[in-house]
Amino acid sequence: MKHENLQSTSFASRLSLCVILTVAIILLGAAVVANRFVRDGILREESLRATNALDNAEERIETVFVTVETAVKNRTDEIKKNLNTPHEELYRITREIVETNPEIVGSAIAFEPNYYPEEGHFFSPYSYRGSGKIHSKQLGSPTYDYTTKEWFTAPMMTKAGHWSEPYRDTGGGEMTMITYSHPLQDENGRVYAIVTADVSLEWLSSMMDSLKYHDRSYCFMLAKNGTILAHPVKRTVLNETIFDISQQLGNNDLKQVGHEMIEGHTDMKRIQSPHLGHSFIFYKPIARAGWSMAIVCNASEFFHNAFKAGLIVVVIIIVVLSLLTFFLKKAVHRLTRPLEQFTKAVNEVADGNLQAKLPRIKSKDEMLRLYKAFHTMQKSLTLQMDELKLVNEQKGRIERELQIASNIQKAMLPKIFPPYPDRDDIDIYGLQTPAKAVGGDLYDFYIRDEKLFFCIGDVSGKGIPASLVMAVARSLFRTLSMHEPHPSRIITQINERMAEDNQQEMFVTLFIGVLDLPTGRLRYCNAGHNPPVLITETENRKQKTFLSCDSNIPVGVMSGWKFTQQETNITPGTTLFLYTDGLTEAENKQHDLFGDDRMIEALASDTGSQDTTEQMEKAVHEFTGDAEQSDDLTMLTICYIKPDQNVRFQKEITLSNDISQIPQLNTYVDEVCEAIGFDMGATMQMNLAMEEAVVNVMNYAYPKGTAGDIHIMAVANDKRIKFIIQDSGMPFDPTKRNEVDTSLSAEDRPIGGLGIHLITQLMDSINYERKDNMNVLTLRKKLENKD
Amino acid sequence: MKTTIQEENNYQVIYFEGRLDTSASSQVQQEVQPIIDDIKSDIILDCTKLDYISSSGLRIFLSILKSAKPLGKHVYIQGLSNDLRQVFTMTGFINLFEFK
Repeated sequence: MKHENLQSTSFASRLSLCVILTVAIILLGAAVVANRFVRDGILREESLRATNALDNAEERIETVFVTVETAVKNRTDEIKKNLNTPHEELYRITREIVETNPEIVGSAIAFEPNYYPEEGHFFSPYSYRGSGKIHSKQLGSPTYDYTTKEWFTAPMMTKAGHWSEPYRDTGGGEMTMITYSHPLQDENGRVYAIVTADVSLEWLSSMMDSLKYHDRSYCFMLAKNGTILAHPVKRTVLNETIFDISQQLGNNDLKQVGHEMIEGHTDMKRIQSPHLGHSFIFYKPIARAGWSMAIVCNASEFFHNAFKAGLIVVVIIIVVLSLLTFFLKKAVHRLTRPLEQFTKAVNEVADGNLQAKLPRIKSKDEMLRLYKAFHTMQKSLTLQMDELKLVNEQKGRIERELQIASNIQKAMLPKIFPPYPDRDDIDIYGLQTPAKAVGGDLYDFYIRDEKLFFCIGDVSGKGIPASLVMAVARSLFRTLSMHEPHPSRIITQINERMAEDNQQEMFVTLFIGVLDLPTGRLRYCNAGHNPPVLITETENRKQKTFLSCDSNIPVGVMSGWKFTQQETNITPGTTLFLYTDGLTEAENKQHDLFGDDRMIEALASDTGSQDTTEQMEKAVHEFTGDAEQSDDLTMLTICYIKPDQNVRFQKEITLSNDISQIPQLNTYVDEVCEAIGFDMGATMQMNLAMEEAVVNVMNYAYPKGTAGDIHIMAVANDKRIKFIIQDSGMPFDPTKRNEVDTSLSAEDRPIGGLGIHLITQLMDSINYERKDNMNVLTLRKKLENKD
Repeated sequence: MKTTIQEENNYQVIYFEGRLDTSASSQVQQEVQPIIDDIKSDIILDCTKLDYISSSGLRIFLSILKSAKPLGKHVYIQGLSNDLRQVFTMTGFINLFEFK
């Protein structure tokens, strides 16, 4: 026996896999959650850091603004006192404003037109830083009308300090500038001059750079309308707005951020773009200037550490899992090793070794319980196997005996077909298929004195009891028919014997027929059996009819019943089909019966006995299909054939009833034998048989003193010769004389009876019939040398 | 059918010649009757020239045997042809007689 290899899907592997998968999932889940927390933390921290940086920057910018404003405001009183000496003092003041405040690169005091008529239309002392020195000049000129400039007009209108929008100064070197303008008012509140301080925004850029705390982070600043004030890419400063950039990049998120910044919000935004990558933008407004400042950080850089930490965690997880796998496998293998040994033991048990060795279990867990269950199973299996062996032995013996019984039964039935290959007047075929190993159907036939004795019967019930009754019935038929040519008497005697001790209430339906072969006279008696079918030929047309049968009770039912005998003459060419109810009551799966009609239909009319029988068997098998055979099926077909008419030789003689006529008989037989070609020995045998037969007639058919004729006719064809001896004497059947016992000693030997004994020994058959008040005795002998 | 009876070497020898059929049997029966009636010694039935025997002939043989046996005399058959021996075999007579 082959056992499947379970190695690939062992319990140990599956358990290990389960545990490792579970641990892996838990660890990975924890790692993911931790990562999420770490990222959130990092984001919060970064956010705080950015906010601090932004606050710090705002503070510094505020400081500059406040410093500048204060520097200008502090000078207003001094300016007012020195209005009378515009050339000396006012230039000095502007120079001092520039000198004392490093943030201020230029300062002017611009008067309303015609304030000093002697100075012309415009008067505006102006000092500015240039090439490390401070230069002074008069700003206003016909080409430079400052009264139209925003820094002049705005404070004139508002009468309050004003910061200009950043602008690019083209006068003293390329510089981004803003200007603070402060109005000077007289006692009536009229503004007559504007004091300005120009502040370079170059420092903004450097301050921005100082805010950078990641390698790839940068800062930028927006003016009120979104114009870039500060940016690492210098060319964008004052030339482009954030909206220009967002449009260039096609990034709506950036546009959104731009709007929020202009509106003065403080927030953080996550931006994803192919250009920028994954970034965070922190932004904050600078209230005093109406600007907004932002720090942009690259997320990957941002989370770089988190990623690193995550990587370490993953490595740790892998290491832990590997170790776990290793130890778990070892541990599980140790735990499940008994299971493998159990498997081996079970395979051994399956292969028949019930004493297979079990693994030793020390632990007191499920394994021990398994061990105990196993041990119990082994013990009870051994017990049951022993029992089974015993039962099987008994069953085998019964089966063998049944087989023997079946063989004995089969041997009882005629089994050599054709049974009479030498005969040309009869063709018989019998077939029996028992439903169980042994059956209760019987059929039998034999020829005695040129008479065919045949029977078919069905014992009630099946199996061994039926077969025993069948054997009894069959041997009674053989024994009783040996000396009794009348079927009704044979059946009556069988009935008496069987009814006598019929405790099992078993009975037999039985049909017995005796067919006189030379004449075709059929005597029969039917004891409750299915009527046989006759296939007769009239005017070259075949007809199938049931043989008319009297209703007699079956054999064995009741003693004392007088069974009636019937008689008919059948002509050569007639077929007699006998069967049991196993044929007509054969069932198919729908429980339909085969029935008389189907049987008659299927009955072949032109074939020999074997073909007729086998065709019927085929028909019934086709009808029943796969349905189980429920009853014994027995068929017997007897074809009464036209004898060969080819008479080769015929010779007659008529003798008178006188022993002295024997030499004439002798001469006649010699002539016949010579004509046929018998040798001396055969001729002597024919003479002997004929003499005995004729002397019998002379002695017994004609009582002493009566006269009569004996007519003898010899007929020979290619195969046999027959002598027909007819006399008109009293009925005398020599075949009914008891056989002589040739083994008796001389003292016990009766004088008579030798003649008929010699005839039966010398001839192939002897047949007696009483016909038309004549005794007709027919002797047959085969022509051996003609075969 | 011819029957000759002779005494030879303390044997009574009966020579049968021809066909011992039913028609001949009554005559033969008469001829051997003196022997049957007075058995003096062992008897030899010589069948050397016997061509044929039927049951009536066999009955004569049997009656001779039946009368000789109670007297302790033997009946021998000699010269039996194969064809006739077959008839003796068929009838079981081969077991009754002693053959020379």
